[in-house]
Amino acid sequence: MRRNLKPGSIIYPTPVVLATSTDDSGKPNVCTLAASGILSGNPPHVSISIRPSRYSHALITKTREYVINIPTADIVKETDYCGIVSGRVVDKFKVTKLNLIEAKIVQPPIIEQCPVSLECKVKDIIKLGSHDVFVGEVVNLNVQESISDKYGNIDYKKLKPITWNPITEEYHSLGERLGKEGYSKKIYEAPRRQ
Amino acid sequence: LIRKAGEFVVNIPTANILEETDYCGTVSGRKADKFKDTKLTPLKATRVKPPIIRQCPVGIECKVKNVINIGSHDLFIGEVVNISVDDDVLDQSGNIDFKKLKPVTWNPLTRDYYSLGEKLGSFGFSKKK
Repeated sequence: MRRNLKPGSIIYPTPVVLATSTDDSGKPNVCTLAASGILSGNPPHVSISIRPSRYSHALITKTREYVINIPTADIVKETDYCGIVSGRVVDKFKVTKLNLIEAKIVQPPIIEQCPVSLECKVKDIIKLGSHDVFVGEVVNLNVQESISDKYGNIDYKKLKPITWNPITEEYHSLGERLGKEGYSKKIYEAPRRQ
Repeated sequence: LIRKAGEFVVNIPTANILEETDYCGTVSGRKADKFKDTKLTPLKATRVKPPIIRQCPVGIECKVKNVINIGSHDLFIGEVVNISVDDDVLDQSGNIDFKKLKPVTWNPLTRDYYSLGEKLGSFGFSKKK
């Protein structure tokens, strides 16, 4: 049996990302977001959604640049903290000791402890009630050298990604690998040929 | 189809139907009857015409509010008009029990599916430290 619940945006699990931005003087800020996503592959576009009341919303609206930094299980505490205090009153970098390095194309900085950072330029801002969506074109992808294997490919095991569960408001690590894209085709192809 | 009907349902799969999930992403509904091949069962939704998949514990019924062209993909923005959940995933108080959802995640870098691992903390846990 099934039942209906009050409508809510509860797709799970979702990524959790650290979005960096800068003010007019170049002073950086960071906020933790559960609402981010892949929009398109070519040219590559992603999105982040932010409440208009958040400081990052004002900064990114003005500068039209942001960096999506993808955290690891090693910095869950830091990631959580950047989502519960405002950059208007706290210097989150000072408190968490997250280090900043210069991005290649945009002004907002990269967080050194994050293995993958997507430098983005805002192409569109879509208003949707409680949150606005910042559509970003990915103009550079910055990765830590240590996450690549000997062939120069990204080794997923070294990324230690974390996910957010919007239903219970908890952070989770990833578990075991369940399959590779397309693995089901062998299983279903035989019956389809009959 | 979604552009014409203006409706869709987001069905969230479990690790139990990963084969079915993968298959639905590798063939086209123009050629194959994916429900017949996978034995996924369509159920009537409450507010929209597209069906809910019985084997998915959560089905999110959506009406399209906007379609935005973004390069290789178009983005369908949907307002959630109903959420259908399987009674089996609810706890005694009627709340969703996350442990029963068995979610899967997708890793676009290596193109692999993963289960979830251990709980690392609850929202706001860093403030106490």
